[in-house]
Amino acid sequence: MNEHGEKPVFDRAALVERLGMDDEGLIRELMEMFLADLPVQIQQLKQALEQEDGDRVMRLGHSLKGAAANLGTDALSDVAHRLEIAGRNGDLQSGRSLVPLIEREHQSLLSALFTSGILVPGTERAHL
Amino acid sequence: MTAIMVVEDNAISARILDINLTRAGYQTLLVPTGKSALSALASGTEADLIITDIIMADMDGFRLLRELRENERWRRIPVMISSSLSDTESVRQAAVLGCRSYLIKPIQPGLLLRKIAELFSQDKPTLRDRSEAFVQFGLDEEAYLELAGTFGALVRGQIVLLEQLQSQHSALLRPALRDLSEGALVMGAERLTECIGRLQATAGDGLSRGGWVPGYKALLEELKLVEEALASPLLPV
Repeated sequence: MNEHGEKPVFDRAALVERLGMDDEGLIRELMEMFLADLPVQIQQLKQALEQEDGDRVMRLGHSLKGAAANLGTDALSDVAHRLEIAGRNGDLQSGRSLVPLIEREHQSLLSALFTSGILVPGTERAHL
Repeated sequence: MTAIMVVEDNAISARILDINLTRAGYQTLLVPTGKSALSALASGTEADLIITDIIMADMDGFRLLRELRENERWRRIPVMISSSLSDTESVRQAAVLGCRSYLIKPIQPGLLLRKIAELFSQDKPTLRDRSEAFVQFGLDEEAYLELAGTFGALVRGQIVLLEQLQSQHSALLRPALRDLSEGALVMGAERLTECIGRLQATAGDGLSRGGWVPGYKALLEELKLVEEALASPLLPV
């Protein structure tokens, strides 16, 4: 957590610990896997919210929370956790209000990964 | 080579488990759903251990556990759960279904590999760790600490008694062994349970048999190890 009490966009040290080694190639592979799937998950989430399917919102939020936490993308995991809770409670209004936050965290993560050199400029189209 | 089946519908979580398990020398098979796990087993895939998530699309981890337990061929395959669900009810449910270990996500590789090694090892731990006590008996933190306190007092009392008895009077020990054995079971002091079992068998034969004295010494030694583990400010977690 930073001095404003916000969770980090990307905690590389936590991911390195989880992998048991600091392997840039492996980190890139995992991030590319994650980022390839994230827009699909966001789309599915929007669809589930449109269909007022709280159970599906809960499952999508839960899955995203787990993957994001494993990767050390804590801020995204945090919003996904809130989505999971909203889905579980059938509170779809809160769920809808969290979609822009997920999208914002997606963009912040991309920026952080480009800045840190994990993603290489010129490949961003694949992740947007 | 030990084969581990990972049942995980999230590709990232599955890959991170895979990386850690493969590097530790295990052979892995990743399947995305409970149903695909059962299909793989039905088609002859061998698994020495199954690690499963709970919340999955087609069949959740509990249902998978139930299906495994109801099948004569698969009921003995040990199952570990790796989930971000940390509520008591989920842990309790997993325990009832015979889950061997319950790991909370995000995955901690050190803990994961230690739990797997313990599962396959013949060397039993002095005390089962806290999360396994939760799993096995549905204890929460407060209940565990209370039990640990009571058991600790009993262990200390028995050490004093055993030292006074100086390996004589096995009959005096029988009630104490019974009490110890109950506590040892709940706390997962598996080596202590084994010591007590051996001693009870020997005590039944009377003092003339040669097994009593070594058994008594082993019990005293194990009790001291348990006392030390219980006295640690950080009980095993």
